[in-house]
Amino acid sequence: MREKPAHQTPWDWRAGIQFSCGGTGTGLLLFTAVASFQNPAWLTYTGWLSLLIIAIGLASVWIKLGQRWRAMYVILNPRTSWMSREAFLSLPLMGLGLAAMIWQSPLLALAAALFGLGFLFAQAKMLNTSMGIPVWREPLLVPVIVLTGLVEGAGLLLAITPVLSGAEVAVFGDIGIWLPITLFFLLLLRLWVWHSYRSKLTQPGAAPLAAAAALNRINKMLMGVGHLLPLLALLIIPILPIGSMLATTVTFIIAGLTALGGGWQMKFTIITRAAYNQGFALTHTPARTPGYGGDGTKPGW
Amino acid sequence: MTRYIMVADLRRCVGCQTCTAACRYTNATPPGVQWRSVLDIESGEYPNVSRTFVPVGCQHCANPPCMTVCPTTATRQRQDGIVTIDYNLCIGCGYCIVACPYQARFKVTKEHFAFDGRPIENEIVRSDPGRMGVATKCTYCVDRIDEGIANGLMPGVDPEATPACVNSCIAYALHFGDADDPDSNVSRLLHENEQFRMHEELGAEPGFYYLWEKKGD
Repeated sequence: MREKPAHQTPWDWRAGIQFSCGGTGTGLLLFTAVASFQNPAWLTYTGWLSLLIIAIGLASVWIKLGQRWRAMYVILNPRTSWMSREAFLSLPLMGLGLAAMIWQSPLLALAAALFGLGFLFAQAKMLNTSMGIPVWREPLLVPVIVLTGLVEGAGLLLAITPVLSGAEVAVFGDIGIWLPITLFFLLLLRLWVWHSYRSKLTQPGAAPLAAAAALNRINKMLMGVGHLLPLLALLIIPILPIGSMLATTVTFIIAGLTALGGGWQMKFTIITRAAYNQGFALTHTPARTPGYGGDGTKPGW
Repeated sequence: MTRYIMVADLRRCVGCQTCTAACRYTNATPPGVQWRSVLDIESGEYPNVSRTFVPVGCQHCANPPCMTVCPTTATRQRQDGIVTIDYNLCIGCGYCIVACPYQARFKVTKEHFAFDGRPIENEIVRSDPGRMGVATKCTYCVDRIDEGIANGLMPGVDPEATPACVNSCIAYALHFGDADDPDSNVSRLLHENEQFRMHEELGAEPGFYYLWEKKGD
């Protein structure tokens, strides 16, 4: 039945990559910039990686355009369009980011990271202003997208930290304390916001039934593997035996990757599987001859 | 001022899809793209059920969400309320498609035809390669309106200045005209009948009204 809400199709898996990479990349850039004040060597490693991830996201937007060679027109409407604003912010973000990596400057990296935060916010607003998709226009989506971007960035940095521990970066001494604590509180916040967002949209009449079902389907996995597991892993770090590199390494990797994976699962679901359109509705059914007008109908809600 | 709107009388629509065919013939839209279509909605529970035929398409909203999100300014609104797309500016990002709560916008990236894979007569004349890879939607047959007005005709009254779907309607269910003119056909219909607009709670101020009952009945 066409009148029921149907899956939106123009923003497919490529949009999923765009938003996943946008969040993870800008989050990673922010925490890398902070870490680089302690040791600029971070810029060499995760700084470049963060820019690469953001660039992959931007490339995935580009390949979904119907007219790719007109891509620069995207900047023509910053007055009202969050897509234009996102494109505008990507310019100083990438420019300052590249300069920071080339000149190994923590200050430039921080400036790039601040533009990155703006970029991440613009991505969240871009979804939120898509009035045709009920699960996107819910205002709580904005903190969901921003917070998960930060969690993903912190998670990825935490997972990479032990890998780099043998390199010139004195990893554990640098960020081994503040990053797990930051990730812990960000995860708690994301858990709370996700729970509020899902609870609101699964109320009767708040979203198409199929969209609410899609959000419910991932909830257990997202709560368990995407939140509780990394939270538990982060909680046991302080009680690990001092000097136990292997245990710390495994814990960092588990906590980081599950936090990151949870974010990607959440975003892919919101952008693709739960993204049902509004469908059609009648406020009244018409009066026929003979007869009177009747109650309205809203199929699929 | 002028504010062109469309009025669909749900009591009259029989779901024949002639308007759909007229639109497709006039605009040569490819298979799967229906700027005007008619839904067949069943509602209620047995034995109190009803079936309603509902013409849908671009609602030419007064506050169009597709226009504010458009990153290129390809989507614009004319003084008379008609929402247009500049195919030369559109980049086909699809943002307007997800922003529209009426599923009125389409994007196709490859030219294809319904009959034998070859264009038929009207498609040869009306197909526009500029519509590939960009957003498209109902234009209210804006070229007919403009040409009609230039020739001194009245949109909604004279067929040569009226959208094809309205002209083709076999049941006089579809009407087009100026809502700001108190003597126009559409103003009279809105004055005499109970009406609603779809998804009005979203605040887009659609320019498409549905009549469902005579006032006072």
